[in-house]
Amino acid sequence: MNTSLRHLFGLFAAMLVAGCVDPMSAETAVPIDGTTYRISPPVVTEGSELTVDIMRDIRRCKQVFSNPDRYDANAFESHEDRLERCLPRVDRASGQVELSFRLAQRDNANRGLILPLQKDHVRVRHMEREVPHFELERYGRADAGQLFILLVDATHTMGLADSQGITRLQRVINAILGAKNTILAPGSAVAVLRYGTEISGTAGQPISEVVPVTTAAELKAELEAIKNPRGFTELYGAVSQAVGPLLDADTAISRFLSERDMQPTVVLLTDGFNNRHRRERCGDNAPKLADTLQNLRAARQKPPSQRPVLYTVGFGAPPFRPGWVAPKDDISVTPEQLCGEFVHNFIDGELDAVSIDNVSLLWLAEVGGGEGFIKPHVGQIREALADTAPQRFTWYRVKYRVDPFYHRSSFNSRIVLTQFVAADASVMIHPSPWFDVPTGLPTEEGAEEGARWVKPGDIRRATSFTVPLLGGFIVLGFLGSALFNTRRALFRRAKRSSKKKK
Amino acid sequence: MNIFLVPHTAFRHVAVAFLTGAVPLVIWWFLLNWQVVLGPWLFQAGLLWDPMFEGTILFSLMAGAIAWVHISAECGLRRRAIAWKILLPFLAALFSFLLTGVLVFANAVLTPLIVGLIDPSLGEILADPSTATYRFRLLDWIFAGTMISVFTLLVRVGWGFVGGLSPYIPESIAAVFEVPAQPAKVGLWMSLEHLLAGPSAALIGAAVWHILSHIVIKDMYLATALGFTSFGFCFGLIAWGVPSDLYAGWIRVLSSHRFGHRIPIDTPEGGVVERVVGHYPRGLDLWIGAEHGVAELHASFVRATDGAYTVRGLSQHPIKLKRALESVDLSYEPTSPVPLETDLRMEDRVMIGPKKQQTIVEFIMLPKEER
Repeated sequence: MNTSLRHLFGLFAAMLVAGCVDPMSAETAVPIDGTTYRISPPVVTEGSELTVDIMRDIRRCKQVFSNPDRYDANAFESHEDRLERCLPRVDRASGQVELSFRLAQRDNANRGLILPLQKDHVRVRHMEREVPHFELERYGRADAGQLFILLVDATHTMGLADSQGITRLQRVINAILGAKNTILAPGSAVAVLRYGTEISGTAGQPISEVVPVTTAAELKAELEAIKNPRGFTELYGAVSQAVGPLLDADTAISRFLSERDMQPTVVLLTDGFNNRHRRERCGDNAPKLADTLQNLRAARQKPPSQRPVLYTVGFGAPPFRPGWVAPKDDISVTPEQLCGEFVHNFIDGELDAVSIDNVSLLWLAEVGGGEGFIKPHVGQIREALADTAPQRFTWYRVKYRVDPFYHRSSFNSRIVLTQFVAADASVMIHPSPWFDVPTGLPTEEGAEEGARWVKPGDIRRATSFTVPLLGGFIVLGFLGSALFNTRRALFRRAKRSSKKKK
Repeated sequence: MNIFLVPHTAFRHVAVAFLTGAVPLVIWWFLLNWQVVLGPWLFQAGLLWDPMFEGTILFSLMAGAIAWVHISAECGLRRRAIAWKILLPFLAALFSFLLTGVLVFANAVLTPLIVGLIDPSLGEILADPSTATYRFRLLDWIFAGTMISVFTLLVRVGWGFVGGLSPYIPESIAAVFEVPAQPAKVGLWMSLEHLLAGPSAALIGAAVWHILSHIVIKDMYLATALGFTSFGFCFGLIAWGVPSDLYAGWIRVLSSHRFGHRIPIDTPEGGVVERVVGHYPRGLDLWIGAEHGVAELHASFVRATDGAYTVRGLSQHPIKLKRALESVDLSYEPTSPVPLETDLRMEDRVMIGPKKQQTIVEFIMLPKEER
């Protein structure tokens, strides 16, 4: 009997071991902490410029956080709190999925990149379907070297004085100086170029000789060197020059960038339209804008660390086509696309007298990986400049929700980075078909949008569910005899005898 | 489980179900904590099961546990020897566990292959261990239910054989292991009940699981807990209620004269038993004085061979059986060749004698161990 039992237990143990997963295998899906889900290793799509490193287990999170300064240790209440944010989380009842990721070089996955990734740069797909509503949380705020190349409009309209006798150019200069703390943050520098009919340094020197400045005093001197705004607005040319020859040729700026390992951020400031001569109509700008977008796209093919980002700031007048939204991944410009009903309108003295070319600015920013700001008042330039120096982060967390129906089988979550860099990675997540942790509780997060995010449920709640239910069964087990005895005690008492009745 | 805690009321039909319903809840809680709390450590140690085995382990353990407590409950109620209390539930649990495991695993591996030959896309869905749908998981439930049914029934049938073999077992051994002297009968009806109980309970459990996880509250956490609890509960409810042969009928005086005096309608040897109530001074089972309205030989209480209890009126003096909304006059009819009799049920009251001198006795079923 003992031998048979030993064999039986041996068989049982062998079955259990045979059914266990191999934790050392790279392909193995690891359990998601605190859930009944498992997550497979992330797969970076062929052709991605960067590795989207989706952090799937505590080991990876600890490895990533081994450099506390780089990963913003102080931003969390505790190490556990940070790990909590790093680990994937899934809540079946609400269909909520949370994944943390960081960006790293393709050839060196251990070297994380510090990038100003924003929600607009990210797309999330669940089972290859676009998730319309998601949230991007950014963590590990870090300062990274950044060179701002300011392209300041120095055309004749900038020399016009307002009712207070202050020129538009002077207001722009004041706004830039007001934003000095942002654009001259530690490790950053600023190069100022002026453009009108031609692009040059602030004092008119060739762009190859423009030297970036790193102090507020130097910046002020640079800006005050811009005199005599005049000529037409060679806006497209200025952009092409700034993202092309200025960075590629042997210029002071390109040397500065390579010496200091900085990323260039080009900021275009303008109050009008691209315009070369008086008889130019709006539609004439379409092929020129297409060429510029082509140049911009070519410049954006560089490695991510050298890739320029273009922000555009239009000011001084309302947009000529309000509400226009730049198309994604489209650089074939037609006159109708650019001008709408204003194809045949003259620019000089007609369109640029009352409006700014928001279409070109937004389109350039879209292709340039940045953002376009249309600020009718010159005083708002300072805010726009602050936004052109976006905060950079070391890791991110995507949070989205789908119908719980899509948690009824293994599913694929894909994080796609567009615009800023082209990167793409996905993970397979495997829900348990039988078990789940207690349903998450709604939090205040997302309440404003009408869809509260949930905090994943705590497994300890399972005990508080089981114990009362078990207690109920035990009580019911005794209840039958208790009720029976009580009933008999109350109603089966002795009847009074007939003698006593008499 | 203790027979003294199970009165012979409708409750006895659900007493085992409470037990078989509670056990899956414990198994669920244990497995959930195993996977969630210990999962990461077990994974690192290479001891966390592959997702493909999750259903196999869950159903095997559920089937084994339900089979164990189901047989164990009967062993407890019948006060079997400790060896039987361990061996019988163990056998039922072991075979239910193993066979359920084999079938559920085979379903997980072979069904996608076979279905995949006809419809590759459906085969792919079935091959995904995470797929959680009623359609594709129903077979697992039915396998578990059927295995519990089959092996708990086989253990009961096997116990009957043990009784049949008793003449061939040496007395010393029979005494130690308390081998029953008579073979226990497992009737056809009981066998059918058993065989249908598992699959029926499985269908109910699967339906609860599906409705709660995908239709009503859409919560897999509660769905699995309550699905398996329903499964266990329904199996306990359908398969085997506490039978009447564990109880013996008693007559108990309710009148103040001799209040609480009771006699069993039972003998250790079993068979037909008759107890007579009257004031005849000698040899009556329950003597009650004539001043309390009882005739010399007034009533007899009988247990037949099939275990049914009846009461007969032996006197022309009044005698009535009363129960809720019913009253049966059992006074002897002189023109009739036989006395009137009627079936007895738990807590029936028999009113003996005229109204002003009446003695009331009641019929109650108490555990056979009651003395």
